[in-house]
Amino acid sequence: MSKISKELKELVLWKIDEIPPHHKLSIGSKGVFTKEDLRDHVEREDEIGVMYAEMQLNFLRALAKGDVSKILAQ
Amino acid sequence: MTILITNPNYDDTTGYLYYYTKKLLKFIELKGIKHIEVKRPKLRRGEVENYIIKNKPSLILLNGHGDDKTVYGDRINGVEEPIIEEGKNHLLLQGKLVYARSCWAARSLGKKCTYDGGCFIGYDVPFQFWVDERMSIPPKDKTAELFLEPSNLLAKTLIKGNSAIEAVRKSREKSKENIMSLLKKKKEPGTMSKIMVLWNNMQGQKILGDINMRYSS
Repeated sequence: MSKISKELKELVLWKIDEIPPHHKLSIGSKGVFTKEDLRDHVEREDEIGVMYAEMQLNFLRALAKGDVSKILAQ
Repeated sequence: MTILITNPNYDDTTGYLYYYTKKLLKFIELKGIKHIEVKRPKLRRGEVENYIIKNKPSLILLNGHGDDKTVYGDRINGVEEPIIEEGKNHLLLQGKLVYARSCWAARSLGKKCTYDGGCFIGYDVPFQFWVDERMSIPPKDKTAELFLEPSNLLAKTLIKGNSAIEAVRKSREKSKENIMSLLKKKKEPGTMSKIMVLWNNMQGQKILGDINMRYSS
């Protein structure tokens, strides 16, 4: 069974494409990841991939619910 | 009263934390505050325990990797050494004001540490930051600064003697300011991914225990 829905995976991969090639993400003790690394992890749906997709989903939910703008306006 | 700061430096992530912790140390030195920086080769569990027992620091700033129940110190022979571990020595943090710039430590360790007094500020998510690999050293990396300055501001606000809740508020304000400045250039590639990570760190930052606790030098 897939750990990331098809729709979310497509969206996350599309967002990863936008990341500049010289940027890397430090995720604590898990390591430092280039956009290609992140893409691979999301494709494989492993721990890092699922974690990254969940972060993206949480952020999109917060944007959609207006939580981000609410907090920024406070 | 003494401030204790752990400062590992053995991989890319701790390298950045090391640089930002050094900035904090300069600030502490300028203020003439008594402090202990624990770094290699002293960054071992036994040494940290002794420092806490002997010096009774009222403010403890932990930097390094972490998980739900552990904050790590140095990497010894390829293995990260836990310096504070739930169920083993977490009571050393009880009654203290603690800021752990570590992943996940607020999920469980922070709760246990503050069960009977004290305040623990940490994260219940992985603390993350983007780096720009064109910048080979942290001081030149303006991308990493977006994520690490809010956490340094939190520590600085505590060092100045403000309450824990005020330190968290100031750190959140700085993160919001960084999000707002990023929003102005949201058409630049990668901007929304940076905002997402700032949001992750902001939402995952937790304050547990006595939110009005403050450090006094």
